[in-house]
Amino acid sequence: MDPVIKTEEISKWYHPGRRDEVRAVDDISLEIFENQTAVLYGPSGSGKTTLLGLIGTIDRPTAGRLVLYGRDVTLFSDLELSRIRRETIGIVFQSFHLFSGMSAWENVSHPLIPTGAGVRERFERAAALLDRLGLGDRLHHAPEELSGGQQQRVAIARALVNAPKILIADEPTSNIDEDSVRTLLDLLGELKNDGITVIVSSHDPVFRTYGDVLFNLNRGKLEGIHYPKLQGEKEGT
Amino acid sequence: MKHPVRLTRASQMALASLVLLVTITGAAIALDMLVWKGQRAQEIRTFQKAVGGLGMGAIATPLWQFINYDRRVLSVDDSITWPVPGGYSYGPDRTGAVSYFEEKPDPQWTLCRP
Amino acid sequence: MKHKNILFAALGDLMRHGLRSWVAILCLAAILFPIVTALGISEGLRFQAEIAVREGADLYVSEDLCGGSGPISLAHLNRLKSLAGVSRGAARVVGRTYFVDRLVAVVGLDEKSLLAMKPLVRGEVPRLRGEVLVGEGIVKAFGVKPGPGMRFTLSANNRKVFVPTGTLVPSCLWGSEILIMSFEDANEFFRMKDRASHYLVYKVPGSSSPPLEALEVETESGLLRVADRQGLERNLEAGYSRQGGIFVVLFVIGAALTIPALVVTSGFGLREMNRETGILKATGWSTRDLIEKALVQNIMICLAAVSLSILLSMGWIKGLHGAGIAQFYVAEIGLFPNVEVPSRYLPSHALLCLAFSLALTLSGSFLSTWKKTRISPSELMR
Repeated sequence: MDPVIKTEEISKWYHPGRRDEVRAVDDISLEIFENQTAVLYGPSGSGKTTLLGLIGTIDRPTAGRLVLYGRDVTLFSDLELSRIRRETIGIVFQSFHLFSGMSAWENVSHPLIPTGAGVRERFERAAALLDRLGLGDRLHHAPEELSGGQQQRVAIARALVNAPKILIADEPTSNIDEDSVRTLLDLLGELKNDGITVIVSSHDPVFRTYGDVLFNLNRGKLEGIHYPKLQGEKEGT
Repeated sequence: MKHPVRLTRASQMALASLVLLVTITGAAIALDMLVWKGQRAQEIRTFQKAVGGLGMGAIATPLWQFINYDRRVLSVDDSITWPVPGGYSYGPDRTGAVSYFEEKPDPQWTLCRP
Repeated sequence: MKHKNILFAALGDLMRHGLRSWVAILCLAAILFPIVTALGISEGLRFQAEIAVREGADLYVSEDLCGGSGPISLAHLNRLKSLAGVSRGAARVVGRTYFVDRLVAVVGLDEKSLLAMKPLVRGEVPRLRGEVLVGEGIVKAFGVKPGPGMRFTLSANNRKVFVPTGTLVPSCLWGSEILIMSFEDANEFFRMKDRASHYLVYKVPGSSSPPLEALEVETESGLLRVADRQGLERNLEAGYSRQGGIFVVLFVIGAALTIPALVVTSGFGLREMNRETGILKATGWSTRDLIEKALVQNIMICLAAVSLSILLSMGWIKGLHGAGIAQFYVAEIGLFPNVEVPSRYLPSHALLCLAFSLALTLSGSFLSTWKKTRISPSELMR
């Protein structure tokens, strides 16, 4: 079975060749298969968010390749990448990045605007998702009126509104309380059951034993691959 | 769960306001054009026919040699100013030279009120 | 449907960033206001001037005086009247005088022309020597109203008495600061015995006969100066052309002010705008969608600004008589004009201002939006 996501010696350097050069991601090769829940695990500054951004196509690599569903997307045009972000990938950002002044349902349905969906269809799809996530009574509330956990669920709903095959979540537990963490983990499990490939980046120990595959990152390099549900470790290269 | 959809009502109102503003502007322009074509134009025609044509330039009084007031009255002037707008708004005595001689009023009429 | 969605999304963004949107609209309206006003006044004056030329005589004949036009001897009149192709001839005196301290025009007309003024007169048309019509501007400035006891005398000769018999209904700019009297009175006033400022010649309409050959002979010999209607129309067109002068200044100033205004207004919440652009890109909006949204926003801002500037200009010029600003467009009209400032607004003015404002706003914000779309979403969201 071919991986849905494959990075080949992918790197992201800032200010290459200069004295202040930073190798945020350095020569990482990994594979993620369909319907897996993958965790990018490591301390702060290990390159998790950067690698997640590269996989999510919201950042361009300095070197290496990214292959999604067998297609090398590294050299894709801006238009093609937009389509991928719209149709294939949903991203939940660490700080949620919701639009203030817009209601929850408007935030969730915003990615549907360029698809041509009418306002009623957009509302209904957003409402269905928010209802599933326990926010059925918060449709018309702005993010400023919601708790951290509720904002996160709005961000998740937005990431899911276009029915992506891949969901990416950056540090999903960093801005929420313990009860919301449990809710989040249950939700991620449900999404896996729905057939979605989930990729999470975190330094939260709760993810050490979570998911199908755990990629240990440190200082931009892949130090190990661990399968929490299987016995043993496999050394990463 | 079924909620009434407040379908971007604020946006619809804003768009309606913009359309209304543009419509009012268009109506004001249309009304102005209509007014100028009707009675106003007739009054101007009556005056001009009676006086034999008086006035051409953007100046309210016959200052600076008439050239910019009405070149039919004085056809020659050695300034290079245009009758405004489109050119300078002031006569040759005010076109940026280092001297300017202001015309002093020389009252020629006396009012005798009842 | 996608474009309708983007339209409402653009509108929603303008509303969410209300302060920034209003600042941009008001800045643009303030910049467009003097341009719209200049166009309106120019068109109003041109309209009046075109009538002044069209309804005037076909030819204006004067004598040559030191290379300029001088009064024409009445001895020419009978001969000119009898030339082939002439349907009517009339002598006219046009001069200027200081009425108290106010410079006004003095026009002396024959009886037929004076009677033709009747529809515009509040009071009576002058019929006797010493009777005069007064323009509205003089009435307002000096409280002069026709009636028993009201009279004017000449400072140089207080035995010469003029009695105002009527007031001219305001019709055009040049009918305000004016005294209209009989030809003989004007002749006497300017001490021009047996002369007229010029002779008005009206040709037979549709006449195909070569008109005024004798006149042409005398013109070539330099004795007479002739201004014909076609030449005046060309002159008028050139004089009201927009190729230079105040319009260039206004457009240049407008551009010079708009660009920093846009830089400042686009700087309001620039980081927030970059973040939002990054979010949209990260959630599947393409560069084309973002540029379309920016374009729609700019169009809406420009439409609002142009409309506001036109309505403000109309209200100020027509309602307040252009107080404070008309003097920059019409010379000698004063800070608080007591005459109606001619102004005429056309759809072409609105379109010109819309095109100008779009060119300015798009060159600023459009370019910055396009540049942002070339940056990766993650960098924009930082």
